[in-house]
Amino acid sequence: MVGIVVVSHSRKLAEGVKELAEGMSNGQVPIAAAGGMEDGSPGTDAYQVVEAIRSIYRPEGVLVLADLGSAVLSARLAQEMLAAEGIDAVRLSPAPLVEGALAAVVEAAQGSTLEQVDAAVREAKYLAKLGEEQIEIEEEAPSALQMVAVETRFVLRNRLGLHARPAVLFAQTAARYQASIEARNLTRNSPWVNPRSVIDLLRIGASVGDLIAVQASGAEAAQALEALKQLAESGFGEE
Amino acid sequence: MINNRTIVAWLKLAARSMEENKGYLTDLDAAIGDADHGINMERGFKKALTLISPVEDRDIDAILKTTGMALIGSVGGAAGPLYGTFFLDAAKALSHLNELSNTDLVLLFESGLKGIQRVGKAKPGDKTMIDTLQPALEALRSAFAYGTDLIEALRWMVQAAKEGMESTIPMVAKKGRASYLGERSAGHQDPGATSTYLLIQCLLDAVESQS
Ligand SMILES: Nc1ncnc2c1ncn2[C@@H]1O[C@H](COP(=O)(O)OP(=O)(O)OP(=O)(O)O)[C@@H](O)[C@H]1O
Ligand SMILES: [Mg+2]
Repeated sequence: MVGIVVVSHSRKLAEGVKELAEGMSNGQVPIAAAGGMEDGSPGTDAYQVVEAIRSIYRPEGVLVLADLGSAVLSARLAQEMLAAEGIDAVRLSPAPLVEGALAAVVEAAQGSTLEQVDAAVREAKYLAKLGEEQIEIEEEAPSALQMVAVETRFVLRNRLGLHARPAVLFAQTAARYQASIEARNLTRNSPWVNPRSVIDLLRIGASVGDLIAVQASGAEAAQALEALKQLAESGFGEE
Repeated sequence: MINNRTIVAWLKLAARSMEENKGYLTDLDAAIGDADHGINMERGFKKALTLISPVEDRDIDAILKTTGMALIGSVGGAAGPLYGTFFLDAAKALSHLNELSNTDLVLLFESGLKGIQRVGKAKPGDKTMIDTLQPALEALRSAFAYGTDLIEALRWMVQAAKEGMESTIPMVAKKGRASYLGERSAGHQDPGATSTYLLIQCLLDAVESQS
């Protein structure tokens, strides 16, 4: 599984982001934090970043998220130093720290590759953070599946909306069937997204009470829709 | 001729200069940054002095490498990985030398500058330490090409460094914390460009004091 390293000027911030991110993956995803100087004052130290990466390094790789300025420079230097020892599956992400770290763990928890985690995290800056914020909607292209697909709809019951944990369950369930599946939030008029991608699911900004449409085509289309609908109606096991 | 004792003398003078100019550098950083450059530099060079004392008699690359590692581990701000890389890369380029020829001295600064640019990705005109270092290196090169001796070449270098440092005043920052200020960063001298000037001045002082 891909590991995540959080680098900040502040040790408290780095540890705090680590804590938040760990909460989303039940400790499944290896996460390490590097921040602050030896004496506790704010700053970054490339050797600390080297140690943090080393402490969780695995062949699948490590994604590094940094806050700003010297945190990025220290992370880049750490990446260089480790590459010289052959520890080279290390990527730096340009994503914002908090959104990025949360997106990284949900993606990594699905067993995605470093490349996939990196790509998912880059999308994190588009997450609709405020409920009323509208996701930019490109040309409302008709769904590729529309002609042959079966469709189901459900009202989201989860009080906290389709946040990361239910989104992960949704994505995992969708991935289990031989079918092309798409989902959209009708209430918010979102575009169709790929429900196997947690980040895409989070982008449709689904809150409690929103009407969600799911379409599927392919050999197991009907089973997939049935399973997803049941999952949603069970409140994703949250109640 | 520059030998390992000159390098140690340089670093000692640098540590003193960072201490003396702590307030000045921090004030410059207060205008366009987070008011810590002087504190960072003083802390870094103080640490460097402690760590180099056991390797003072070793080859020049050992001294430079130790300095780089000390700066990376103790400066805290952008200057840490940047100056740290300067010294580490200079050390790599000069392995096992006890004395530096003119060409070696050029190589020291050339490798160091390249390292700073690799890690920091700044270009001339971005209002950073590069704006001091790059013209200073060019002056050193042309002084040697012209046939001047070491001390004279270093004087050219210091002069170019000073002009480079002052050239940052009207610039709009493109890298580092100051870049968040956009146009408002113009009208202030860059703190990193200033500490680079001080470091080059200290090298001249070290060479002069040994001849
Ligand atoms: N990417 C860069 N390339 C070259 N020089 C840079 C870069 N970023 C910053 N600098 C230099 O570093 C100086 C600031 O150093 P300082 O030690 O104060 O770091 P800082 O900006 O406070 O670091 P931090 O990013 O941790 O806040 C600037 O004046 C500039 O000359
Ligand atoms: Mg600063």
